[in-house]
Amino acid sequence: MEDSKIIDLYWDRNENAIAQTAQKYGNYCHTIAYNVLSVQEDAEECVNDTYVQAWNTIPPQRPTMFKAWLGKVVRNLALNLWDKNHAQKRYQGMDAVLDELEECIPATQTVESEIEDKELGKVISDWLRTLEEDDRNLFVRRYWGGESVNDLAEEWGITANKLAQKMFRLRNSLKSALEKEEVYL
Amino acid sequence: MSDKGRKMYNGITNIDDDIIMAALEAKPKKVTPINEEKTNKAKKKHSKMYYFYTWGGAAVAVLCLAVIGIAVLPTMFSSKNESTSMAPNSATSSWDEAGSASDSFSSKGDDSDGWYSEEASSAEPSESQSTNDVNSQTTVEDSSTIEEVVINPEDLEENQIYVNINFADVKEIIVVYPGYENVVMGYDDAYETVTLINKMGILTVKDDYVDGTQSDYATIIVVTTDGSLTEIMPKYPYVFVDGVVYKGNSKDKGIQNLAKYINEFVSTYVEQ
Repeated sequence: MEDSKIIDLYWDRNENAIAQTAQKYGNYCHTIAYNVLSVQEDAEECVNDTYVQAWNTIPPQRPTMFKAWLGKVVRNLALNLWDKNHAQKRYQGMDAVLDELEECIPATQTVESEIEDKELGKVISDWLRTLEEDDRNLFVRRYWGGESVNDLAEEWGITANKLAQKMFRLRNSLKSALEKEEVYL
Repeated sequence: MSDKGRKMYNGITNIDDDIIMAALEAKPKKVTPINEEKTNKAKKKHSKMYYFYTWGGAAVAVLCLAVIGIAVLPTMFSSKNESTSMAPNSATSSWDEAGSASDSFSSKGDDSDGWYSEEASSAEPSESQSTNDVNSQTTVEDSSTIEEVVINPEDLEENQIYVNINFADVKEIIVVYPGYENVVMGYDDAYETVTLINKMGILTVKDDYVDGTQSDYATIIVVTTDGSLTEIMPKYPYVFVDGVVYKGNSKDKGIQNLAKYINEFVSTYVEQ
């Protein structure tokens, strides 16, 4: 079923909307959640919460890109769950991702210069648009989708070490872009 | 998770939708050198097989010529001596043999070309295609553009308020915290906050109300450029957000919920 029709179901308050969402994007949501949480049960819980949030949010919202919208919801919910359970030290995978991302942040300058998330997202988007298509997709798959370096290396047909070097260069490039835009966190 | 890590995570979550969709649906290209043809030529020049065919072929050719020279030329000279009429035929015949030897060398040369050209043909287009793809990306509409939201206030749910603040109307934002002196947000901070609120459009809030103890809570005052604080919004005089009740003043309906976002900023600011 097309995304627009699924969204129409939500607007009609038809419960089939959730079933259709699960059928079309269940695996996709689960993958994103699992890449963050690394725990099967938690990922499933997160996906179910995503359906609930979609049901509660649509309407009034009408996402223009439903797949991307769902992915963002999953990411947010996964992070919340990650926070909740982090004391148990279960999520090794996401720790690595976040450690890598931290390197991109320039040193703190001013406390009061709080950068709003969407503005930061815009800066990152602008930077991504300057990259080669392959590099851009790689970055998004790694840091938005949370896919592992080994999986991506296999798909890209290069070694994990080479991919790690590529990611390192991309992170440095992002750091430069953030510094240029005077983004200090 | 550190604050920086969380901030980056949230920032990346807010990457433009079209970039996310493109990445999710794209198949990775086989990773190839930027200019495969040049690389293949370089590879060809330095490969062992190249040396084998080139120098080996040359050696065979020299050997063949030597054999021809030794075997045929004396015969030619002797034939010339014996019968001048036979000499051209013999010579032609001999050179034909030599020619066939040369052909066999050529065929090896063709094989070698074929070997390399097959590899070269497997190279994927890379540079020009990538460039085109990048160019096509730049034409994608920026999905982060703020859309105008037209909403009838009567259609809002009980716990929703519609926020539409014109920054031109906001001069400063004053946050009054019990026990602290007034905190006045600077122009830039106010601008960021108002921009954020405008992007949000509709905000869902808890519709708890103050029971006369508002003096224990912070008050948000938005001073507009005409100097007016205007009246408190009748329907939501107070907004209960995250355990703190805010009182709002504005001619714009729903301004109180500004507090939810200002709170995070100001509480950090006040603690310094």
